[in-house]
Amino acid sequence: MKDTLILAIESSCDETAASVVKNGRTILSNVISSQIALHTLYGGVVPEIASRKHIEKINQVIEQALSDAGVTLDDLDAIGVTYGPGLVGALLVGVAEAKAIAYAKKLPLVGVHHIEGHVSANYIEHPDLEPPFLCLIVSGGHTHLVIVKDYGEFEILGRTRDDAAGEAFDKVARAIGLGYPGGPKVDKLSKEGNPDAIEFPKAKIGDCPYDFSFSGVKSAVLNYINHAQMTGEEVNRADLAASFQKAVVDVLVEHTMLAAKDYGMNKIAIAGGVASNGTLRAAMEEACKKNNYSFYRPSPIFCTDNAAMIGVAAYYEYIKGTRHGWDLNAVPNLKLGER
Amino acid sequence: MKILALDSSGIVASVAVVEDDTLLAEYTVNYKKTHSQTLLPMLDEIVKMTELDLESIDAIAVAAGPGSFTGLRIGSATAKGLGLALKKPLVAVPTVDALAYNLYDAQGVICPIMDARRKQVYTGIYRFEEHQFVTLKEQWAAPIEELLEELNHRGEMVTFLGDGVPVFRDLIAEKLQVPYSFAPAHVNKQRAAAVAALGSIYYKEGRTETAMEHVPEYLRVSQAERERAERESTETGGCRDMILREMLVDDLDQVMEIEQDLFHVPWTKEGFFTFLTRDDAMFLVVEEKEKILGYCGLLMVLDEGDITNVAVRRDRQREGIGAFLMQSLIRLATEQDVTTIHLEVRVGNETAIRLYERMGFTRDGIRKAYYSDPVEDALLMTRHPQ
Repeated sequence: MKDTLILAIESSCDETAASVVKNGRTILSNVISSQIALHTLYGGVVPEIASRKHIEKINQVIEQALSDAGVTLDDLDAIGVTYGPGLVGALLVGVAEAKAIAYAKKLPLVGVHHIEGHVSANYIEHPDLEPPFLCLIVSGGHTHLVIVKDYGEFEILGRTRDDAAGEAFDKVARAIGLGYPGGPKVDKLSKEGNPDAIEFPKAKIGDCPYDFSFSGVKSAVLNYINHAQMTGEEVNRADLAASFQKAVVDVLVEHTMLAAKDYGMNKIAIAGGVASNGTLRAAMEEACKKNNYSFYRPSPIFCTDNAAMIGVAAYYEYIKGTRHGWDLNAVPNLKLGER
Repeated sequence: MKILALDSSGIVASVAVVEDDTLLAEYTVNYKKTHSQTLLPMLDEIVKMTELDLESIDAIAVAAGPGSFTGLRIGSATAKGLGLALKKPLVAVPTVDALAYNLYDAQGVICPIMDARRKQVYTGIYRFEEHQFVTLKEQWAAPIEELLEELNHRGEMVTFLGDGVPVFRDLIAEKLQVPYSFAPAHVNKQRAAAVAALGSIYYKEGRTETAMEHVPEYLRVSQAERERAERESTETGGCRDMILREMLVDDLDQVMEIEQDLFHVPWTKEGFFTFLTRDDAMFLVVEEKEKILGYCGLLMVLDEGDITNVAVRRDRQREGIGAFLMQSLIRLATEQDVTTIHLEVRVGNETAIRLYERMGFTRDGIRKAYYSDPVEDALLMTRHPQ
């Protein structure tokens, strides 16, 4: 059977990325041009700067992805592109570029939901993983607990009521002077700290046992710091980072295990930028082992925003027959499971 | 020679194909739908109607700015994608040049004006001399009044066009002393045919770039603003080296130094940056030999303003820099019809309160425990229309 090759483009936030994916599971190239160093200057992603950087880099990234994969545009079967959710100005660069390439090469265009991409990152290194399975998606913009019923089909069990998990990490990191991006920095510092030093609250949402809330623990951390400053006490930053991280990770693992039990799922996956957090990976793995569940997680390089995961998701959409028109727009608040 | 041209720099979306001296097709829409949804379907329509083989074009011309940041990027990314896929060069045509080129062989000078908000325009001054397109002044961003002064000074007849015409029609009538006219509907907005025609000339002159190289020209911070700042420097009580100008992103390192030195709870750099990109905020600095001495900021809602920051470098206080900044801010705000200005100040900061009272601010009330570190009440002050 002929191979199916897809060029995928991702520009939803602060990474300009392109990838060539074969038959939905084999990554022929994965090029990421990160703007992290730039946004570190401003303590977060600045949309106008991100958009300007995308347009500067995008052709270079695509050409690199093609040449790393050893293919030309003529070898491709389709173009996949993230069209939401994300920063609208950033998304538009990838969408306009992808549409123009697909149009000029008369290739089918497949728009991909960014979160569907994150979930699909798990297929890259786990050839045995197939739906259905339970997936916890945690990133700077999203916290979702979903059942992946089939490729591209989701049942959302729980979501955050306020801040995304990654957002809480970023805000706490800023408060203790660690800077951006918060997740990896908190993770690193917490290795030197005692996770049981300070007890932060774990919010329970009454009516939905799978929903999350992180603004409470974030506020508790900020109050703790303010209180210490006013009374002149020195804050042990490592203890604080470790204790905060434990409060977040415990809730993520607890809710996932509860959902697995209630829905009879025995395959558990994690996805999204925060899925590269060492403490979360270890805690989830241990909980899965205890319950005799199979545990799947992408390598850290496929947890952060990348185009390989978009290529994988695009492949499964492509074989299902998903095609987008030349009027495809960026949809900054695209909901999971929507078209 | 065949040129495909795109223009999505303003409200108009436009696609055209020009072959030598013939316009094969043009599709121009001036409607609210987003360019992201219209531009490529418009190209597709042209390709179908004219049985165009995209491989047969020689270059892709694109209106390369200034204009709406997002609009420019949609046009640029489309051109870059087409260029990459078709392996064709790009021709970046300055938006204002292409606008002016609509008025071939017009008498006098041609002056496109694109509304850049805050009473500013993206503009340029052009003329046809013996049927040749001549740029008298390259595209730049200018306060409309400054442009009108310059046109008065030139003393020639002017033809205006662009989306700034309906915005500034009355002001032009009031201030302009030379004969003028406005271009009619079919040639008074962006048209890709003009981008293609001018792009053909640039292409022949070898003014192309690769799809990879191309980026839009946003023109947000301009020579003109710096020049204006220098002119205003004479107003700083004889300190000729001091310049008043708008705050730029490049100033933020120095601004943060002052901010962190003076305030217990300083603004973040990101905070400043966000305000610099907003249309409803105005931030000014006083600079001396590339050193920032002080700054202030104003947030505007309709006819009311809220002063967000006033700061003067610690070693340059009591020289009147703060008063000068405040006066300038009030004057510029009034020019933009912001007549009522609010601020808040720590009740213990008597020096600042006296300064604000001299500037015409009166006491409105107290906001309890508004400030932290140390906790202190805020005095609310307002300057009403004089």
